[in-house]
Amino acid sequence: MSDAGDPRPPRVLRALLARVLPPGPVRDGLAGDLDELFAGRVRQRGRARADAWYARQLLSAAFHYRLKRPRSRPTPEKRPTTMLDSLSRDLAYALRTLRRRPGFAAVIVLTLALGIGANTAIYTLLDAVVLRPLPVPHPEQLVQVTYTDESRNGAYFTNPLWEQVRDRATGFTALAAFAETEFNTADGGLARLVRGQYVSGDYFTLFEARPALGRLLGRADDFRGCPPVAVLGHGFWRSEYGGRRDVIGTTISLDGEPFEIVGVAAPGFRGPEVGWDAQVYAPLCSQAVISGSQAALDARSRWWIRIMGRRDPSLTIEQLRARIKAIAPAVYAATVPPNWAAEDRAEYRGRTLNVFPAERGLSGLRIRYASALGVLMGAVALLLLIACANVANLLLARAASRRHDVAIRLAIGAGRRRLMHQLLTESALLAALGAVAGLFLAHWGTRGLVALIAAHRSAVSLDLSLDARVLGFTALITVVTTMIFGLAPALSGTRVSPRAALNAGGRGVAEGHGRFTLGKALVAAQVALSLPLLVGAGLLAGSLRNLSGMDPGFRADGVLVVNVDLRRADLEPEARDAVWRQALERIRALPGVLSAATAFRAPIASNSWNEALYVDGFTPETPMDALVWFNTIGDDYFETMGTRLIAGRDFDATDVAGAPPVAIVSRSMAAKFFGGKSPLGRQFRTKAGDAFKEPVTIVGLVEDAKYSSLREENSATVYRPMAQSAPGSAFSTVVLRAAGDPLSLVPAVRQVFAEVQPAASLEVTTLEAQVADSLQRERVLAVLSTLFGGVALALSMLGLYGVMAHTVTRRRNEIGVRIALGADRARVLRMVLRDIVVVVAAGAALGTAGALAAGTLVRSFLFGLEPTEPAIVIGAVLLLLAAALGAGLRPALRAAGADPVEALREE
Amino acid sequence: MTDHAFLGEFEHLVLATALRLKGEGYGATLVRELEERTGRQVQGGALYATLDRLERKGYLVSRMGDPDPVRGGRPKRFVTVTPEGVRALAAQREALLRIWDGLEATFEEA
Repeated sequence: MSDAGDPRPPRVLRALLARVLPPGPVRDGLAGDLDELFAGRVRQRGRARADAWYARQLLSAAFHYRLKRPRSRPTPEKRPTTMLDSLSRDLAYALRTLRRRPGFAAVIVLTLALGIGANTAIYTLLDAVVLRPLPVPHPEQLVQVTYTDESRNGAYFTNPLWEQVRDRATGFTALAAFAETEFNTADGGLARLVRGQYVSGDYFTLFEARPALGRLLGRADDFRGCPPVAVLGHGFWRSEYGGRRDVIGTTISLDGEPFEIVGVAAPGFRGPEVGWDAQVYAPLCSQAVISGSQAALDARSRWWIRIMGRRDPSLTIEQLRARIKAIAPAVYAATVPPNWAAEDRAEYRGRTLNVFPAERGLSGLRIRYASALGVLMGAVALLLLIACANVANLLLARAASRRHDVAIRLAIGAGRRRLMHQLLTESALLAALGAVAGLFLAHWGTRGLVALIAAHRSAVSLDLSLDARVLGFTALITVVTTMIFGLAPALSGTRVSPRAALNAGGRGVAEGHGRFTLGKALVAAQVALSLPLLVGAGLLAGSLRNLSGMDPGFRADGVLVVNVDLRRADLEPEARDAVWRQALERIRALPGVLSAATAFRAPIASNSWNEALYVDGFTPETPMDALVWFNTIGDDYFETMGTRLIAGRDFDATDVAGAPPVAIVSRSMAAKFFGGKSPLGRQFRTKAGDAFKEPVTIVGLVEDAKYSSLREENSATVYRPMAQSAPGSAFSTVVLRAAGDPLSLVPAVRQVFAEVQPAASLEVTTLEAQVADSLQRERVLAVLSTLFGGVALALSMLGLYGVMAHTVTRRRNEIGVRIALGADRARVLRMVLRDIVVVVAAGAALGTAGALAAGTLVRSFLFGLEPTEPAIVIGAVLLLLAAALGAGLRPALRAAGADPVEALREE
Repeated sequence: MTDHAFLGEFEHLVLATALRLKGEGYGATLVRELEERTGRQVQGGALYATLDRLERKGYLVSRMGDPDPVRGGRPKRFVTVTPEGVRALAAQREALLRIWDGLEATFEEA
C-alpha cells in the first residue's frame, strides 16, 4: 500500500527510465515531467491506463535516446566498433525489421507474453505463499515451538502450557504466543466479522514491528486481568477508518466489549501466518474480557495458542532444541489436565517440546496450496515451451523467406557470426517485449488468482508486489526462452550457400523436401507437450465434477445456514433456550420456509466434534478407530437437510432431559459397530475422563451424510437430540429449507431475531456456498488447468496450421503435377491429412509418457479417477487429433484445389 | 525570407508552444499544452529529443529549476525561445501563410 500523496509510476519502470536516459538535464527534467504527468493521468484515467501510458513513454524515450542516433551529430566512422556499438546497431536493425511487419511481431510478442505472463503469475504466487521469508529483520532466527519431533504448522498449545514455556524457556531473544480468532464488530443483528489475533506481550517485539500510529502492544498490556486494548492492522485502519489519525483513544466493539484503540501497525506488517493477516490485535489476556471469565486462559485441554520465538544468534538451532527439551518435563508436570484418564495423564507428562526453523512463517494456505502451486508451475512451464515452439516455427518460416536476403549479405562479405548475432538480437528483443507485456498480464493474472483462491468466507491477504525475486525470475525465463526459440532459426537461417541461393531467385533452395521437416518436428513437440496438460485438465476437471456431482447424503440447494451467537445477550440458560424455541417457531411460520431446525452444526461447517464410542462386542484396532462424528439436532433436522431416515424413528417430544438418552446413527456407524445387523435398540457409551457416561440407546438409522469434507471416507455419525444436551447453549445453528432462493429469506430471519433477541449476532450463509467453499482448491486447479490446456491446444493448432499452410504452399508445384498426371483430388486431400496424422501420432506417442507422469503428479487431487484413466488419455489424444485435422483442413483443401495449369506454368 | 532552414512539423509545434508559455514552460506543461491544442498524444522522449535539437540549433535555451518533491525530487527544465528562435518561427509563419493564401475558400466549399 502506498503512502498518501501523489501516485508514482511502477518502481521498476521508473528505474528503467533512469537507466535509459543520459544523466543531467535530460534525465532530471524528463523523469520529473513524466512523474508529474503520471500523477495527473492516474487521477483522470485510473491506474492501469496510466501504467500503460508510462510504459509507452519509456519505450519512446528508449527509442529516442538509445536507438536513434541524432542526425546532426557527425557520424563517428573512425571510431573502432565495440561490442556495444554493434549491439545497438543490431537492436536498431531488429526494431526496424519488426516495425516493417507489425502483425507478425505482434503475434510473436503476444504468444510470448502469454507464456511468460502465466509463468510470472504462478511464480509470484508460489513465491509469496511458499518461498519467501517473512518480511521482518533476520527471519532466519525465527523458530516455531512445537510439541512433536516433526515440524508442523498447527502445533497448538494451551494457555497454561504457554505460560510455563514463557517463564522457563531460555535461549530466545523473544518468545511470543498468538491465537487467531474472529471478532464481531457489530452490536447485534448481522455479524460483521473481522480477523483478530490474540497476542502475547512480546509478539510485536519478536517481529521487530513498528507502529504507524500510537503504540503497539507490549508486556505491560499482557497480564491476567488486563484492561481491553487493541491495535489495528494498517489495511483495516485505512479501509475502516479512512486512515484517520484521531482513532487513537477511541474504542472499537469486539464481540460487544469496548476495546480502546492504542495504535496502528505499520503497513506491510502481516504477522507470521502467510496468507492471513489480522485486522485487529488484542492482548492474549483480553480473551477473558471477551469470554467473560478466565476459564479459557486456565483451561488445560483447550489447544488454541501457537508459539514462535527468535533464537539467540549465539546459539545453534540444536543447542536451542536441547534447552527447550530440557524444560519439557517441568512444563508438562505443572499443567496436567486434572480430568483426564490416568493413562492419558501419564502420556501427557511424557510429552516433549521442540523448535523448528520458521523463517518463512506459518501458513495454512501454504499447506493447502503448496503442491497445487507446484503442479500449476509445471503446467505453465509446459505452456511456455509450447509458446517457444510456436515462435520458433514462425521465425523459421520467416528465415526461409529471408534466405535470399541472407545469401546476398553473405555474398558481399558479412560474417555468419555477425548475421547470427543479428537474428538472435531480434529474438531477444521479441522476448523482452514479450516479457514486458507478460509482466502486465501477470499483474492482473495474479490478482485474479488470489480472488479465485479466496473462498467467500476466508480472505487471502498476500504481498504480491513485483519485487526483485519475481523480476529476476521473469528475466531468467526470458533469457532461457530466447535461447530456446531463437537458436534454431538463427542456425538454420544462416546456413545458406550464397551461390545457390542467388541462383534462380532462390526457388531452387526452398527447404529440403524431407518428409519430416524441422517445422513439423516442432509441431510434434507441441503436441507432445500439450498432451500432459490436456490429460491433467481432464483429470482435475473430472474430479471436480465427481465431487460436486456426488450425493453427499444431504440436499445442499435451498438451505440457509444461520449461525447464531447469544453471548452478548446476558441471559440465564433457560432464557436462552426460550430464545431458540421462539425464534425457530417464528422462522417456521415465515412464508417461503418449508422446514427449519436447530443443530450444533451444519454439514461441511468449519467446526467439528468427535468422540470415542464404547460398544459391547466391538474392539477398536487403534484408539482412533473408535472415533465417530457427533452432532446434536432439533426436530425436523433430517427433513430440512433432506437426509433419509432408513429405519427406526426420528426424535420426538418424549426425548427430553431426564428421559432415557437416545441417539440416531448413520449407516456406516451401524455397519462398523454392529456389523450390518440392525442397530435399533442397541446401546453405546462415551467417557468423560475416566468415567463412563450413561449408556445411550439407538432409536433410528439414517443415510450417511458427509460431515467435514466431501472427500472424507468415514462419515460415521451419531446424532443426539438437542433436548437431551446441556441446556442454555449460547451458540446454535439454524438451518432452514426455502421454497425459493434461500438468501431472499435473510431479511425476514434478521427481523425474527431482532424481535426475539436484538443482541443475538447472526452469521448467514447458504449450505451450497459452504460446500462450494470446501471445493475451492479443486475448483482453482480445474479452472486453471482447463485454461492452460485450452491455451496449449490453441497454440499447438496455430503452429500446426502455420506449418501445414507453409508446406502446402511450398509443394504446390508438386501437387499440381500430381493432379495433372491424374491423381484425383481426394487422394491429394488424403495425402495432406495423412501428413497431419503422422505429426500428431508422433507427438502423442512422445507425450503419453509425459501424460502418465502428469497423472501421477496430480494424484492427490483426484477424486473418483485413476491418474492413468485410459478414457481421459484417449480422449485427450482424440481431441488433439480432431483439432489438428480441423486446423489442417483449410491447407489440405487448398492443396486439393490446386490448379494444375497454373502450377505447371510456373514450373 | 531569411536563410533559415525550415523547422520540422513537430519542431514547429514545440517551439511555438514554448513561445506561448513565455519562458515558464517545462516538459510537463509543454506536453499538456501540446496535447490540448493538437489533440494528439505526445511522447516525452520525442519532446526531449526535439528540445535538444532546437537547443543545438540555437532556437531555445533551457535552465534547470530547483528540485521539486512533487516530481520525485527532480528539477524542472524550463525552456525559453531565443530571438533567433523567434525569427525562425516568424519566417516559417510567413512562408506558411503565403502557401495558404487563397486556399481557405476551397475548404468552405467542401
